[in-house]
Amino acid sequence: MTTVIEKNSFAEPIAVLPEDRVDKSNWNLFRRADGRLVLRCEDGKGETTETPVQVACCFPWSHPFEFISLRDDKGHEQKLIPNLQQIAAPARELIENELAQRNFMPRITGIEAITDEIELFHWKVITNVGARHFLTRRSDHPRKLVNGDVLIKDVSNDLYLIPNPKSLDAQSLKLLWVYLD
Amino acid sequence: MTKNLLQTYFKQAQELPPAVQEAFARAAPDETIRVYALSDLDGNQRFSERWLVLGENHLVLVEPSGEFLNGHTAWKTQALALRDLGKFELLEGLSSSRLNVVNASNELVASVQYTRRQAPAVGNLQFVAEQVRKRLLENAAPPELADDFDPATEYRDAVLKAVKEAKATLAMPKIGVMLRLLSYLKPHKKPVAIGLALAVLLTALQLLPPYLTKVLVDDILRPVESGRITDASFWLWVVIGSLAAVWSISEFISFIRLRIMALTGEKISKQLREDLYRHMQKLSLSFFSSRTTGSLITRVSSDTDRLWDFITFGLIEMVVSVLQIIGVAAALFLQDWSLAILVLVPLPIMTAMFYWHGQKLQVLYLRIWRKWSAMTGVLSDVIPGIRVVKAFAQEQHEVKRFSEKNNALETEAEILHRQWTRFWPTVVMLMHVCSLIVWAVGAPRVLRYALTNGAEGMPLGVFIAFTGYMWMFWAPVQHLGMMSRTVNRVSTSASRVFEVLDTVPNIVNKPEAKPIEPLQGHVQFENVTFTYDGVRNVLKGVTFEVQPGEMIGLVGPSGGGKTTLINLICRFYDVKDGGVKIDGVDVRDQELAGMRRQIGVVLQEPYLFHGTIAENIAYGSANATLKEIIAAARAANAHEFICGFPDGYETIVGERGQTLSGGERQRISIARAILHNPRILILDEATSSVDTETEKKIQEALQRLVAGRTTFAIAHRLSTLSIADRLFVMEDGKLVEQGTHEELLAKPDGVYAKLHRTQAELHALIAV
Ligand SMILES: Nc1ncnc2c1ncn2[C@@H]1O[C@H](COP(=O)(O)OP(=O)(O)O)[C@@H](O)[C@H]1O
Ligand SMILES: [Mg+2]
Repeated sequence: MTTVIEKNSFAEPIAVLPEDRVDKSNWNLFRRADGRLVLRCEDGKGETTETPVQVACCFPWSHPFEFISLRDDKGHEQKLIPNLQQIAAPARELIENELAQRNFMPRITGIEAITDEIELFHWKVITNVGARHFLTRRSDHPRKLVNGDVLIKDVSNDLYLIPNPKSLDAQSLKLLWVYLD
Repeated sequence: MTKNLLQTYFKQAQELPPAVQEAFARAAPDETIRVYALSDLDGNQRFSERWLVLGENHLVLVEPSGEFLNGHTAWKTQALALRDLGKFELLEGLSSSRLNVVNASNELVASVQYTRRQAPAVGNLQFVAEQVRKRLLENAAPPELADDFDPATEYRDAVLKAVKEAKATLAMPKIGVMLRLLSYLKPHKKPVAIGLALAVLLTALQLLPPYLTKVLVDDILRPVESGRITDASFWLWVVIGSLAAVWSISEFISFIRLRIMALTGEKISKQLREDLYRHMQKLSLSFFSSRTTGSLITRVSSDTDRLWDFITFGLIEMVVSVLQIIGVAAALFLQDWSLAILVLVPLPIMTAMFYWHGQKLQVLYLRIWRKWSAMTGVLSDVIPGIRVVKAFAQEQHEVKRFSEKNNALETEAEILHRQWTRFWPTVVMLMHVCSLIVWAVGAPRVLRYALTNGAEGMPLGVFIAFTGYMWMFWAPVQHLGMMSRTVNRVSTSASRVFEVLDTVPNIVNKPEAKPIEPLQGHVQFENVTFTYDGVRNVLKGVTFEVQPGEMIGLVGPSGGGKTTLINLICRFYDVKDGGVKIDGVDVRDQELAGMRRQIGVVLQEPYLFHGTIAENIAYGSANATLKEIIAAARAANAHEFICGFPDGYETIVGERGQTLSGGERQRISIARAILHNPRILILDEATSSVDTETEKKIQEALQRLVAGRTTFAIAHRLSTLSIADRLFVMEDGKLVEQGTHEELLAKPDGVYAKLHRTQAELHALIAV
């Protein structure tokens, strides 16, 4: 097991990022009349291709604005953007817009009640986009994200975020206490 | 109760509001509503109420105009003629989806966003809208409405489906659950009545000893002092004898009572377990796929055990506690009413304390339970993957992960222990305070009685009996205080058991269904459409016909719907549209068990039950002789390796048994299928997980098995299917190509030809 391996016999790390290769292509984004986001790419010889794309986040929870993947409708990646900050304003705004649509999630600002319905919990909450009632499975625990936020998934797979739960009012915090660590 | 589930749980309209219906009628006059859905987000991504309503010719978008008419929301509408629409585009987000409606000249005309909760209903609407539009464009006449399609029901079911998957029986109130549990006592009326009667008797008996003490003191000892009685020692022995009698009778009674209730409880929980398991076996695959194995096992094992506990101890204890409180209170009042009131005053406080303590514990237990399952989660995650842990040398990392959870559990347990260790001394202290007060008030009276020579005050015996009764008070008070927790736990367990019992199997025999025996093996699909989730079609109009004895190879990219297709042949699920016919009769009209007995399946991951190899081969063929078992094993190329085991055919396999390689397990399951002698044989990637050498052996075995039976074989390695009569290529839920190997290769652009080329290249690559 302890064979000494010469350093240069190690394999090179695999390049996964476009910035590791040299990205020479010329591209931009625009919104088509049918509402789709379209990627227009120009190769060196003056040929342009237009592909409707969907945006996907590689790390939607921890790094929502990094590693944004633009994919065609079949799920093939057309472009990977390592950091949204590094691209020009018009394209960035389009992507930010699209992300806002895609990553929409109510943020809970207050909890009115959590009642036990045997296999289910019935939540009555106030969110930043209005009041909401929902049900969670007893066995589904709220998930704690790395930054301390709490993410709740209801029976229909809708997500609710509690940003910084410690900042909730005392009454809500008391109700939520069962789920906090 | 069931009517208002959407309102109760989601604060969402139970059906299309009348005002919206009116708005629709204005926008699309004289059109019948086919289907509708709610879009619960507005353009600014705030929760709101916008309705998508589909008529015969129009899709109408109804949303609040922001104005009010006579105090009601005014609705504005946007009517889209289906004929002018191009397509619907669905964009999925993290927690919401967006439906874009694009017209024929490719311009966005409407865009709505909605949460996952509404997705099934909107999906239905989109599907119907597309169908209606297509038919409108094709024959220019509004298509007929299906008779049994009620838009309100469709909408409600679509939204509630997710809830029903989490909990099949909604809106079962706690009281209802308890009453239903009690109804299980009905067949055991006699033992329960005896148990109760004994409990009443016991309570009464327990009231006697303090009274006897009083007699001892006031009627024997004191009179002796004053020389008023002579045969004191006789009476002394009478009292002692009575005490002995009372105690032995009560112990005997409580022994009988416990035994009766324990046995009755066991009978009931046995019955529940059996009902539960029997019912589970009847349920369809879809029930099992929406629940974890663990949660189903818990219901049969620990939930029924908890019910036993309640019936044996809890139920009678509740009744007895109430009786004891009444009995003791009565005894106290009989002795001295003013002191009795003094004792009764703290009673409500104590009950409240116990209640509050129970509530607090419930929350703490829930927290502990979470930490506990996080810890055991690490175990059940890592132990099966121990090879990977070792291969990546992550032992230290795993220990750290475990000890984090373990520490969290300890911290939580500490809170719990602090809580109850603080509680009990407090309670006992309170009891002592109460008795001190009674002493402070009562003792001077005893003194006065002695001083006034019985003219006023309280006799010593009465006082002693009184304090004795007082201490008997606390146990039932404690039980009643804890009762809410017991009831909670029991009703949770009971409703989880009832939930399974109440789930209706969705694949059932029609009453007039008849078995066809023996089957010829003619299989026909007629325009079959199927969906698992009610929204996304996994099979889209599949049509084919297979003659008896034909062997069909099913190929295509994974996710294409091959497994789904054979699930429908076995009738594990029912089609959404179209029909599956075996021997010319729709499978829904056939007797289920009789039909399935004539279908044999060999799966990619063969499942062996715990038991001997012989038992596994003979699974489903109860009357097989030893000779037949060996013959089947021989045909499956399994005989030789089985004889190589010291225990031969009696080697124990399955969990905790002899470990077999994938190829060996597969050959045993093929032997099982051979012995079963089915008319229709299904091989779902039966050879995918074995090496080429073993595959050859399996291949030979299969060839023997296939002869003379209708066979559907799914395989990834196309070479495996060389013996197939015809090949079906499934892609994206459609049967895109069918024909012989040569016919399919002849289409250079065909899916099969492409697949063949890739595999040939792959072979070349490996061969290098
Ligand atoms: N039990 C299930 N519930 C929901 N969707 C399923 C289920 N089984 C399969 N699917 C989906 O149905 C599609 C077809 O799957 P399947 O028939 O297993 O394909 P194949 O066997 O060709 O690989 C896949 O998209 C898969 O995700
Ligand atoms: Mg499959």
